[in-house]
Amino acid sequence: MFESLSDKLESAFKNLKGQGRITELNIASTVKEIRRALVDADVNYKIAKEFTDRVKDKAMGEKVINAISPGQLMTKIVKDELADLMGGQESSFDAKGNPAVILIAGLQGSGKTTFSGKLANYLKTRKGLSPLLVAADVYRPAAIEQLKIIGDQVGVDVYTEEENKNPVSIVQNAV
Amino acid sequence: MMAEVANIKNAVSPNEILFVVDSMTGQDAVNTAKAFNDRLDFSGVVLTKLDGDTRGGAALSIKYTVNKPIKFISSGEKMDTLDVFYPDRMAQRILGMGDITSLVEKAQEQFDEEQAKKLEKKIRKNKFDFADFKAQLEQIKKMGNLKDLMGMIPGVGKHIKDIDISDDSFKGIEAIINSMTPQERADPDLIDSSRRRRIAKGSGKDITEVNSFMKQFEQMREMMKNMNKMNMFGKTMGMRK
Repeated sequence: MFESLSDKLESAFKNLKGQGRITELNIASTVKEIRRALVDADVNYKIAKEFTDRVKDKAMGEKVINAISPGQLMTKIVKDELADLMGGQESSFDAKGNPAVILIAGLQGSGKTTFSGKLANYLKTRKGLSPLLVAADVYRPAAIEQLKIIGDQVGVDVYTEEENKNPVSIVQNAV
Repeated sequence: MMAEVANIKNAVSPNEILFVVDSMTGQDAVNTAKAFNDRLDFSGVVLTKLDGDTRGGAALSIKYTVNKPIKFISSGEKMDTLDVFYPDRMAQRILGMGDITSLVEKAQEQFDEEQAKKLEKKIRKNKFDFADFKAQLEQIKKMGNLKDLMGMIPGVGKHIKDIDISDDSFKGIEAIINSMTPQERADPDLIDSSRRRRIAKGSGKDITEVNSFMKQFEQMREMMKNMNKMNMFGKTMGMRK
């Protein structure tokens, strides 16, 4: 997962090796390399720029304690910023209510059906809930069929109305 | 299509609206997320296909662009490959710091206390046999993809990325164990050279492979025995105090 990004970030930190302290001068190339690593990883340029600006500001403000090297300090700052960029804290998942309805949307081929099966499996085995999968894709041939098979695999019931071509009413009936 | 999803949303007012996006699509993923968010105002994002050749752009940009959290990450076709998304752990993994927390959690999920106690007893009595060994292998396999697991150990990730570690690495050993009779599994000392020949034939392995596996297993048992001795020794010493 993310191997090339990991590699590039690591080599960016290498620049700081042997440096006693973080200065505007020696940090410039590291920051530039971090930015390039992010853009290479297909991160929007604007986001990458803001990210590295924040990293730079933070790094300049930090005093390097003797015990840790500038490289280590940078790693810590980048780690914190990365976590922040991806949302900071883990988010909650609301499965309360009777029934709790979860709508799953996305482009064709993004993995909705497979994910639905996985989520049903997760809710069933780890949360002790009894989920029901509802097939509301009336367009793609075999979409309902696929959901049925996956439901079968994880042992979760699947609600289908194969003649009904109106997803809204299918969903309403299911609920 | 969008209008239809919006209609469904209005009809049943869901607790959660999850937007599923293929993480391999990179920048494009961010654009579609924007479009969907404008119409649906979804509550969370799911990144799929993280086992593919993902550069990470989607994971890093989506939160910023639509200001909605990533809730789950999904990789592979197997039904148990869904994980809750932890930004902190992911950041550590990207920086090659490993993800010990997730590794421990995965182990705990598969861990069966009762079984572990039984195993401990067996080891203490020096009765660890092939059946136990096989059960251990099964447990590790259940934790998921071997390479992913090893990647979670700090510092290991970057060293193994070019090495091909397949989940099949256990297969040879399993074949050998599977070719043993239940008695042989329970009592490894029973296996003499003619039995070894039969096992080699049964598992499609060379006799030397069977021999070396048996030897390794013996060494493992020997090690366990020594550990027991040390424990006992420690205990008696403690009592004398």
